[in-house]
Amino acid sequence: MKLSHKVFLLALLCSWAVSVSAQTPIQKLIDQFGSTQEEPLPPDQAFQLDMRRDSNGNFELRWDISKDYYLYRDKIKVVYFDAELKVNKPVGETISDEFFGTTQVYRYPMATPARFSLPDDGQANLTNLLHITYQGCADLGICYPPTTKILALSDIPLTSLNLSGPVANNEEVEFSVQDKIVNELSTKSLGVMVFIFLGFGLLLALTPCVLPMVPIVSGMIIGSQNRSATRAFLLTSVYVLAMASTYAVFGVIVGLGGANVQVWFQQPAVIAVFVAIFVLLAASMFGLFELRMPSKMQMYFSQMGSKQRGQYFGAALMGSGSALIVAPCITPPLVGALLFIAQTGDAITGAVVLFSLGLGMGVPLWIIGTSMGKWLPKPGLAMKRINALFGLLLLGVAVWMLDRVVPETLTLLLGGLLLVGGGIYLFSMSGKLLLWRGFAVTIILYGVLILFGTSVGSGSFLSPLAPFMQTTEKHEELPFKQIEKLAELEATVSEASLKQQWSMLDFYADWCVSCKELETFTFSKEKVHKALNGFVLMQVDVTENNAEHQRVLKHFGLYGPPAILFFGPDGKERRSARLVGFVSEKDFLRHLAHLQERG
Amino acid sequence: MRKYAWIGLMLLFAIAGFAIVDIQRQQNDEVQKTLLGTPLPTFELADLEGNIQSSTQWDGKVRLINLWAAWCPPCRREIPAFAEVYDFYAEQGFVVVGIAIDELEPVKKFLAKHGQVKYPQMIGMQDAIEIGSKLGNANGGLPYSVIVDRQGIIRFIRQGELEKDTLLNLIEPLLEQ
Repeated sequence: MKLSHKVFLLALLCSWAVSVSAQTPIQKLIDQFGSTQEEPLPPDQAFQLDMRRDSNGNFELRWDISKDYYLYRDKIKVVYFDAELKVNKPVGETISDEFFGTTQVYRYPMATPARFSLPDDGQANLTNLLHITYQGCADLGICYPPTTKILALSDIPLTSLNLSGPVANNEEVEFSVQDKIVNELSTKSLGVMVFIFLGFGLLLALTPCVLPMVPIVSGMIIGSQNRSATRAFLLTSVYVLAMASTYAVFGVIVGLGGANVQVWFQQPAVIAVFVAIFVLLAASMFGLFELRMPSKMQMYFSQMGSKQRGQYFGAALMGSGSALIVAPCITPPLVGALLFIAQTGDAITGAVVLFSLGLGMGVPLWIIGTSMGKWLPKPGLAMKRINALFGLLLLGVAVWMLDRVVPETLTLLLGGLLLVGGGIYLFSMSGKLLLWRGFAVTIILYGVLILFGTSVGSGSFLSPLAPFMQTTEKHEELPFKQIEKLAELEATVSEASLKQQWSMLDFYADWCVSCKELETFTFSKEKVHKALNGFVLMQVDVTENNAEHQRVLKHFGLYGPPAILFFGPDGKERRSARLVGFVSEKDFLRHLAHLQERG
Repeated sequence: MRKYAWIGLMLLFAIAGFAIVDIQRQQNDEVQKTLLGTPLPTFELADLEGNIQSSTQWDGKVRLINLWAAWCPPCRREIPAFAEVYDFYAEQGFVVVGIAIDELEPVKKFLAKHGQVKYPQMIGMQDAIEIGSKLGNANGGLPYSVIVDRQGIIRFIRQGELEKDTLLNLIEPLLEQ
């Protein structure tokens, strides 16, 4: 098949994946420009109740309110055993109403919760019921009758609450990508989520982790023998289904077991194995050796009844195996889905969604496999070029994974060398093709830049010439005091409060991408250092995620990093000031300024 | 030939992707649209004095059935216009039936303040909400207006404020029947 056809098909695939997974943001964009055809949401979707309690009978009441909807502050009621409880409600937005006069309403984001306490102070039976009543309207001109939610105390998640802290005005609380995914999963219908994850899977299929697997795998499954189209389709289907099922099962096990997957991917032993696998795969792409199913395995399989059944089994096994191999590359949607399972215990939705992810990832393989390799380039220079490119991508992935356990300078060196070496190799195979030659030269140049930059002390892959750009800019780390135990944390905070100082607690882990971004783009900046002058800085490194780490996380109601918490000079946490995702230098400085203004 | 089949399939997928996600949004529309052209279901509710009233007493008239509440700002905005239109066309066989999904006190207070609202009122809570559902108000949002012709067929449904002009344009042809 001609290259132009392939490119066209790939473009179509991309457009489908993008179109499906971009539905929601596109819809939101359209809504923002004000369409007259807006459909009002059902009240349960417009106002999502979010409650928490602690072990002393104190409650926090909060709603996730959709944009362009609002709740009436005064209509919020909590009834317990037929008596209305007094609720401490934060200040809302003032609106002028012709009938009611000046009223206060809540809109998104409702960062500060309403609070109330049970009269029996935490001795209550967990089956006791709370009646929460609230009502609101949509900006587009309709209002909803009051909704009453009846919840047993046991339905409300238990966490630790900080009870003082000013009842402040609306503020932005940022959520990490994974929290957003968890949120989306619990609100959207299953059908929609299936499509979204199919889209994700397709997009992931185009990443350097997965795409190079396609020719490898199709070669292995189909082999060079002639097969019927049906057989090829069936074999590839078995492979893809096995891959998708592995994700589903793996996801359910991990999710229900509650283990933190990201931690596993950080053990040096595990990383070494993955790196080795990818290097081997790259080697096969460069033609250093041929990847085939080991003949012993082939014989074993053919002994299982017919040769055909053996092949199916082999394909299934490879499907499962590759699911695990490429897992390190597909972290955000994978972890998002896993978190959802862990938090909600809803294994079925999680499993279905992960299954769709696997299916999406398998689509290119399906297509290529079923076409019986007719769409792969013929052996020859063209094929070699593509294989070389894939080989480089695979090596790139290997280096990227190595980065998690190896000093940064080393990975930069390796990356630079890879670019230079790979570029030269590609150039040598480009023949007269200008596009390939140009590409090869570009990556050679960039590789040289990185090597040069690293040698003069740049720590970054993206800005190798940084040391030359700003001589006053110091790439310094914040002087965090490392905290290992909860008791240590509490002691440090009280010490700070004795000196009337603010404290900041940062949760960090090597495997937390946002944490690293914070270090590079925010915590390294001089302005941030200055603004944090006088703060007692604490950091808990939960890379190992041992029992003590989990205790600290749980104490603050966190599932994992990233998280930045602030404690005032009175030693109490400013809960509404929590940051749970990456913030840029500008936003962080603004946040600090706000924080200290309100005291 | 096979190549084009693949391309066609892919385009189909793309369209399907969009379509399925769009269906979600249209579900509320669906229920309301299917009610147009169907007969108005009969219903019974208490009036403000506590007596049960049946909807059949207005058969043969052009009806605007309006679900509202005193705490609902868009509802309050549209009601004075309804009162005017009612006053003008009552002789010709037009009636507005207000169904308040609210407590008695605030409704009475509102009507006391807006003495010009003279058309019949019914009131309820869960029972009124159910009547709303029967009339196609799936998400319960107010105001909700249903216009019915003399033969009892539902001709128009609107969730949200109903403007005076729109109302006049809709009922004038129906009154001539």
